[in-house]
Amino acid sequence: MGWEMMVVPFLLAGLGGLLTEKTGQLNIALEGAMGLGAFTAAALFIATGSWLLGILGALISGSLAAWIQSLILQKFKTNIFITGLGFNLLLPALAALLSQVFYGTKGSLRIPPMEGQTWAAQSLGILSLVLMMGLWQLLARTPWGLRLRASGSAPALARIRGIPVEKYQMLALVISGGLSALAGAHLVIRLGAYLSGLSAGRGWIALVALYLGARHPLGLFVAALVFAGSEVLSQNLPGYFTVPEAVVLALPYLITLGALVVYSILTRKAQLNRDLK
Amino acid sequence: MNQRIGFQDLKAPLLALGISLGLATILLPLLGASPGKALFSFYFGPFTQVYFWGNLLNQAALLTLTGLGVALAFRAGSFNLGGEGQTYLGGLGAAALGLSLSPDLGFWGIPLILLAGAFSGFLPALGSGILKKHWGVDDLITTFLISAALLPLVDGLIGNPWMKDAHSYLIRSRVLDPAFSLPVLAPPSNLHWGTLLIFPLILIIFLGLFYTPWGYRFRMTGQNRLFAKYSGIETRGFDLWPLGFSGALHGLAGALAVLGVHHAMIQSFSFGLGWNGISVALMARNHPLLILPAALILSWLDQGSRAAVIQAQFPFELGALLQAVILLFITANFFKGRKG
Repeated sequence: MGWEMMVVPFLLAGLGGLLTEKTGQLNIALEGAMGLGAFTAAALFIATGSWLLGILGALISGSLAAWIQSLILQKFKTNIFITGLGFNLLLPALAALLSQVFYGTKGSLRIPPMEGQTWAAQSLGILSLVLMMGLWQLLARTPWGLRLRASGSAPALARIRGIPVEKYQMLALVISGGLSALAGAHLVIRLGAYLSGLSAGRGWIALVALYLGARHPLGLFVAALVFAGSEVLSQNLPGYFTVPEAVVLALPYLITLGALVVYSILTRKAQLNRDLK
Repeated sequence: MNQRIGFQDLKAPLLALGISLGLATILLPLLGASPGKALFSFYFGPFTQVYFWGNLLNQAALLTLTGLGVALAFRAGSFNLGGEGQTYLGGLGAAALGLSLSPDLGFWGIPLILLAGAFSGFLPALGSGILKKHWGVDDLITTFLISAALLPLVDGLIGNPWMKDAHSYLIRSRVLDPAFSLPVLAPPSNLHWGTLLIFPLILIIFLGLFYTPWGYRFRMTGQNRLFAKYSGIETRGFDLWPLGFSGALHGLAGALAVLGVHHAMIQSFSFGLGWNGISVALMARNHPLLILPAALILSWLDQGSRAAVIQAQFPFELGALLQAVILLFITANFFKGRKG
């Protein structure tokens, strides 16, 4: 399958993360939702033999998990970062438990050969592009988009204007869970198998991509292209010079850290300049 | 958050604990072959054999160290979510020095090795502190990211030819000289004399925080930075050192596990110590004297789910699931005024 398919998981999960960021509650559990989506998709591919049912199942599982996450956040007023960490630990443990109970293995599931594998992967790719264009236009040009953004940038004002801020925040979170799970399903289709830890930090890279893309759908797309390109490179490079596996695994987090530090320094400078004026 | 703790403060911890116990009580009969036996071994199994309760106490001691570390950072208004990586690196530092020292040093090598572990945990946490102090980068995120990057890097370092045990299929280091192992307290469990180290540490941190002028400034900065600043307290240092000490306590936990339990550096040996340290600190409401009870409760959950696997042939270790559920609910209504 071509290199262009590498973009899809970053773009899908990144778009979900972008929506939550716009509502002022960045969802860091993209990684966990991706793993859950991958497992659900694999289990349904094996059980039903249908690509469509597996993809739909992944979408539902991710949305459902994020809905529960949102309920916990809103009912118990928990800290979004700690609860997100909890979900990143919970969802893989849940997938491992289900896998152990139904298949007697924590590790890997092979999907029997099915027709239309390339077609399934490509249609998710097309979907991700359509979503990118659609969300861009929705956010920028519709009242819905304006209200969604307002519930993040000025929640108090939005509430006064009668905008149901909590509903928008919940919707954004549910969509982010669903899209991340689709990203997981895409990984499974591409590989033809499920492995625990299949997402390998891609949920975190999606978060970086949305910041590097200046929190804009189009910017996110460009950043996702860059990360997909570097993934292709790191897979093909070892022929010429070897990068230790440990460094490859650590890189997403180090890049995130670097981007964050630069972002903080720049915004701090801007803040200082504003204060001086 | 003061020295005294009321029922109001314990609502969220009790909620989190209650939900995870409820989940266990539903899942154990549902998935196990013999429901009664599975439930019994989960709740009481840890106290039936020396092996289980010894391991429970040993794990509680390690969680006390990581929990104290997290609480210390919280008290100063910092967030250390990098405990996993700091503990792991602490183990690596301890093992590296242990393999280099001459066995002739005997017992005197042990404090040196423990210090090496603490120092290894200290460095990455201090890094986050520096980023926070100078550029205002959010420590909650940097501690996490540095730790997440450290985990695979440490894995890679264990595999280097000098350190790796060439005869093992696993990723683990050579075994340290027996001169450097801490004597076992309750065989066949992992409980060793080194665990007693936690008591002076709890006492020092408790007295330091609540009965010294330095502790007053420390807590003041954590509670209200602006007020502390206008009262003439030099607050900027508290961006740095509490995080560093927090990392050192995590590193010490890693070193203690290497010297007392594994006698070598083993891949993923410290998995969960950092995350559960956060749960312990939040459960104990960051109070030094409540850390040990909270650590005992969490270790009991973990050993209980292991006992259910061994004694009742339960198909799955529930530990990870229950610990994640605790993290989900532990901050209920706790971080007032701070957005994630």
